[in-house]
Amino acid sequence: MDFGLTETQELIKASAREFLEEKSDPAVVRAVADGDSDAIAELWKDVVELGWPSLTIPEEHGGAGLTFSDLAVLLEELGAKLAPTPIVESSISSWIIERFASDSIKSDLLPKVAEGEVLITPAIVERDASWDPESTKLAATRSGSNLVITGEKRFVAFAEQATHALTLVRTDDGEPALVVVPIWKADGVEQTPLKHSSGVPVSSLAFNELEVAETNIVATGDQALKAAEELIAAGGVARSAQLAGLGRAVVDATVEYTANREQFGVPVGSFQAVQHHLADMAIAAKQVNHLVHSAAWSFSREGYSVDTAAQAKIAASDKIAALCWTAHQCHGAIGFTWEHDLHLYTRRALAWKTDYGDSAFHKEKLANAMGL
Amino acid sequence: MTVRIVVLAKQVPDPETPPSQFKIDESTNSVVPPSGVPPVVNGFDLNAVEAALLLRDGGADVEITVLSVGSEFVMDAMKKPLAMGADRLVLVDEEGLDKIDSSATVKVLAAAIEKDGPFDLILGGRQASDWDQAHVTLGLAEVLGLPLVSLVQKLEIDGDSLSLQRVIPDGYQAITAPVPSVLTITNELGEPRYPNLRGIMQASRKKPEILSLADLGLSASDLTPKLELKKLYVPESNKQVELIEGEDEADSGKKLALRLREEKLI
Repeated sequence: MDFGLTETQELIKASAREFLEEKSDPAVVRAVADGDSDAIAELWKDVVELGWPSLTIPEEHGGAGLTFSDLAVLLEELGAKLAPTPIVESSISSWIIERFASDSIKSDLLPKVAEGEVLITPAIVERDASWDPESTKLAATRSGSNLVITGEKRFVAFAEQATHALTLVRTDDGEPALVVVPIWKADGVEQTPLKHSSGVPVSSLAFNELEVAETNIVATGDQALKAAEELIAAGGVARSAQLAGLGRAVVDATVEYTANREQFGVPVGSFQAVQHHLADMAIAAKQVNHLVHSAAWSFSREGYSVDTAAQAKIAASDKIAALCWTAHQCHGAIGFTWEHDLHLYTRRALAWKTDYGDSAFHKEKLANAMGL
Repeated sequence: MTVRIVVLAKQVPDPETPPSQFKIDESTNSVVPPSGVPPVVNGFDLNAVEAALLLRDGGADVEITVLSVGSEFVMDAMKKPLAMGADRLVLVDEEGLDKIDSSATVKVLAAAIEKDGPFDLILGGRQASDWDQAHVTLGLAEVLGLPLVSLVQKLEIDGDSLSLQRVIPDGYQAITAPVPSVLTITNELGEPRYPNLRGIMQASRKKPEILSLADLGLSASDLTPKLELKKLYVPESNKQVELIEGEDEADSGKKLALRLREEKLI
């Protein structure tokens, strides 16, 4: 059995690495963290030209029809360069729409997503900061052939750039529903940008009697909960892929630093205590990498493995954030300065640690899946 | 009418290989392939691929064939021109062909072009980043008896005529050349495009056409080298730091300038 990347994946990896080296350098990452939305738009335009938003969309809807495993390869590279671009948001939203929505929603939205005309971002979390779909309170009242939505969603990534949100609501009969909601300059939607450690735009969305056609409903009842569960699992694995790339980049940077920084006339990397740190970091990054690819492989048009998805996010959340702290130890004082790029990685890792559920959330999923 | 273009491409060690991983085996006068760093297509050859693609973007009906001579090809690297938009990949692949000199390479390329031709344009990078000799494309023009224009930064095709800009130290020359011609493309043409997802998928589906020396009517005895490599080594470099101190910045600057002049560096 060949556990290596396929030829397509190798080409995706090489192409992404080369592109991001030039287009997502630390200056761009810092500019976006400082609120430069033009930098996001410029990068997104290039990303759309490369066809990345179309990666997992089926060919019949204008996409490339590639797999979640192929997506994970791209996401690792995006994570390694901290690319401030909403590929995770767009990809998992279109994945869920393809899996659960009606043919009319699919044929209307997916070709536009593939072309970059439409950008859909998930909006799941509310005031209680929970990723549990059962805790949804955002109210949607039926009015004729519309839903009237009132309430709030929080921590919505790239909401400023998105045209639509894929959001979970609770209808007046108490049933959950997953709905595609147009948010771009929409009356009845107020965006409040949040100060966020991730370094990318994150907002709260306040819906004030926003009318949305019932035809925008992707799924209702148990099917809506199932779709939301899969959305969170897919988001968790996608973030884990980015964390795997981030971890690899931090390990590489730390090895390079300790190989060159001299103390007592020798590189600090020659000290056994530092070597132990580096070995632990390398092992952690590789473990996450393997778990991510195992989890990504389980996603198909028929479903996914709850166990492996949870395992990947648990490991990524815990190990990569810890790896970043160890990297600061190995870098010494320079690693704690604003001018050094290491804090960009650490802050992103801390933000992604809780995104789509932290390790405690996914441990419960794993325990349930194991029948405990 | 379809313009048939062949672009010469060479697999080379990645120029971004960290210096610490660059090793030479002095007993065999050869570079030891760095572990974990896959080879790449010579960057200047990608400029040549880009030149061909720009003709297509400009409305010309072109068929782009990428031709390479070597062995142990890494397909993920060699398929990059296909992912950029080239139509075919032809590899003359036989053990030892990655070690032949430029005159033998010219012989093999000429035979492959004659077998697969005729071509309207033969494009190559200005030089290869492994040896930087810039021999092969020039020699190929000589062997094929075709006009050669080197260091082309812009090209347009109109029927049987090419309008070219050739880079010179203080500007460029405007040149008209006939079709067929051989051109070397320089990096002033612009950055090669990044492969998009559609291109990557098309490249994955295409199989390279593999030729052997026998397919070209050649044998190892036809490839006797004309160059002899006497010695290959990494030059020693000594890093010494000398701090120049002065009473103030202006004084330090003056002393630095004097020191640099003493060393004949300025």
